[in-house]
Amino acid sequence: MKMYTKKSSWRTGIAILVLATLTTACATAPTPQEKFDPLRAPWTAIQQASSGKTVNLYMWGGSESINTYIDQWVAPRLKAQENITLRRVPVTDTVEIMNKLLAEKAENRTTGTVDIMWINGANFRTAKTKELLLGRFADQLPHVQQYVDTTAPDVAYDFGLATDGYEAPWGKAQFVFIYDSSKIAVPPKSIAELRAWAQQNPGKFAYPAPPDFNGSAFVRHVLYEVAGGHAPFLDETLTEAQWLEKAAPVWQWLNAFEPYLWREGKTYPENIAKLDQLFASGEVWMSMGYDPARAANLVKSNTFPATTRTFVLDNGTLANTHYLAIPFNSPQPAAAMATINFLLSPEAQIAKFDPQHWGEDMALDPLKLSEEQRKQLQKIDRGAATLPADVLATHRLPEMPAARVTVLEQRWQDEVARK
Amino acid sequence: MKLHANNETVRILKVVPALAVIVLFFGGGIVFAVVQSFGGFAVEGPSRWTWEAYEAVWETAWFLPSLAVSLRTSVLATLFSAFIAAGLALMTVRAGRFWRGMMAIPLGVPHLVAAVLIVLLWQQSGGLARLAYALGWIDAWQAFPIVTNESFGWGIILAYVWKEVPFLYLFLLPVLQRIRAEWYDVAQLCAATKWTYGRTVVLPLMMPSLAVGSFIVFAYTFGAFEVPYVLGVTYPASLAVVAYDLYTGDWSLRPQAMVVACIQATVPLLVGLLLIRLFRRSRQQGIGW
Repeated sequence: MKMYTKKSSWRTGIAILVLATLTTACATAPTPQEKFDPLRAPWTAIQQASSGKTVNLYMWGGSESINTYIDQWVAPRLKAQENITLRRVPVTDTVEIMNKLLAEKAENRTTGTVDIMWINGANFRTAKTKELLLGRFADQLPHVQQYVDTTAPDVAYDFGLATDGYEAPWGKAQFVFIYDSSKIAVPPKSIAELRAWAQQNPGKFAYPAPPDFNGSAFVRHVLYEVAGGHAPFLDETLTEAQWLEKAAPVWQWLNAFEPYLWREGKTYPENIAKLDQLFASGEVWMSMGYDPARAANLVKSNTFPATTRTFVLDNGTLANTHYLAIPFNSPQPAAAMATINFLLSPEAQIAKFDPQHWGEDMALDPLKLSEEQRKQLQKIDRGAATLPADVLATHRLPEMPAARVTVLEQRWQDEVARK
Repeated sequence: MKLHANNETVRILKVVPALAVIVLFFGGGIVFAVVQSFGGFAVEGPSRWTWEAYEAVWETAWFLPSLAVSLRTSVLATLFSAFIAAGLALMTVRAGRFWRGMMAIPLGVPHLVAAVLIVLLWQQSGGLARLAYALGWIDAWQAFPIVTNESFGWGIILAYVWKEVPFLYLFLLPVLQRIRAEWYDVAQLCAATKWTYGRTVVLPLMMPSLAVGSFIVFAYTFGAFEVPYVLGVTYPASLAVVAYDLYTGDWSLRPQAMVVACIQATVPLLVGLLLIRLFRRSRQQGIGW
């Protein structure tokens, strides 16, 4: 190894870096141009402007069935009907999109790469408060006007924050517990019963370590039950300290629960995929998830045993709506709007409801659909592992403000993982 | 215009494209991380120069345990890989294509896939436990030793050894193949035993390549994320996992995430500098080609 080359390359490196900084600084000078404003244009103009364009949809890519729905059901039809090419860009955590947009915002990059992103909760809070969004586009979409109940609280508020048309609802999710009916005859009906069951069957229960989305939701269920119901935790007037004081019993409970967990709580599955894998191999007897149809899908793909079923708690399980939004620097905002409108068509939403494609709840109000469309919905078989829609609908708990969710996840690290 | 540029200039010009990419994307990233770790480029609030994030990281309960996990797994994985690869290479240096073919298989497998394979094979309900149960070696899969997701990090080490042995093997093989069989005959004329021949001829010739290869393995395993993410424990997690958690967590933690990233870059850098010093000294002693 010759070391002198290293030294000279270091100097060259600095020179190149300085040069590059100078050139990029010049390149970002503003270029004045008349721009077509999709937020004010009539719908026909938007359709015209979007024909022949390519749209980048950034979304969490961890579900095979969701990806297939986008690639194989949506993309060809969108191309045929609107002449828009849809490119799905998978991310492992939606916060990565936020980080990308924040960096682009800081650099003043007015043309980014993301046209549509799939978000809700903490990420929507970030996007809205840090002005990473295009604007109030949702009410412009014909299918929102026609089929969405925009005044319903679970559509108008995303984890406590008003959506104000900055995002359009895409679907609804609800938390369910997954179990193997060949091993558990009667599943628990409350967190207290779950604990009793885990005590009788030590090592057969686990939840993913927060900040995993599903593990974090499990902790919120425990919080609601052991710390006095959900109402106090939705109260936005509480300071963080007051809120945490009310939440304190959850840590005691979770620590006392640890000895009965998989590996005695010395480690937790790092994400829902690991928990599913432990469930599939029979090492644990329950899984969980914020998608009522996932278990049925995994039964169909032979990942889970055919005896897999799901259950909700008597007090209910968390439910939320997820949305599609357009970033401030979308290269094709008009085509993004036309694409979202297509995704909200009864046709696309009913296909999404079908477990053959995805199997999750519609964002549309079923009462606003035609007679024929409603019949179509009733005909769809969502599999033995999926609870009937009315059971789910009557067992829903509201989500808490997104900022509190983040705090809860951080505290879990200190109060449970590190103890 | 000078048509006959000298060799040195041409050589430098040839590396410019590759160098530009490294400096811009890699160097730029490092500069950004260092600046952000000292409070610059703040995501939230005004930027200011401060040591606070370094102090905060130092005072956390997790910093030293996480550093220990990262160091323990990467050092052990490097040592095991180096010994196994050197041994295999010495034994199979004349064996040729079969071994090279075998070794090429794990090389093409991404680290994430390797980690998942180790989980599926070695977890208590995994392939090996089922095999042991079927053969009657254990009464129930719970009797299978816990290898994955335990706090020492054996699963992580196992995954890295499986991935890095082939890398080091293929790194060493060409060096060993340059050693000609006749040299041993000559050595025997000088009354050298196999052992002294190995110690005084083969080992010094192999050492520089083995050291460079091992350093690459150490630098990679110390900083990589996916294997400890899949095979580690929730607490203490390796530095890479902690950095990712901090980075994807609250905005106010961003400087701390960058502190951890900077530490992850600094440790291999120091080891590398130490290695260069050792190299210079050993070169003077006539070690290497």
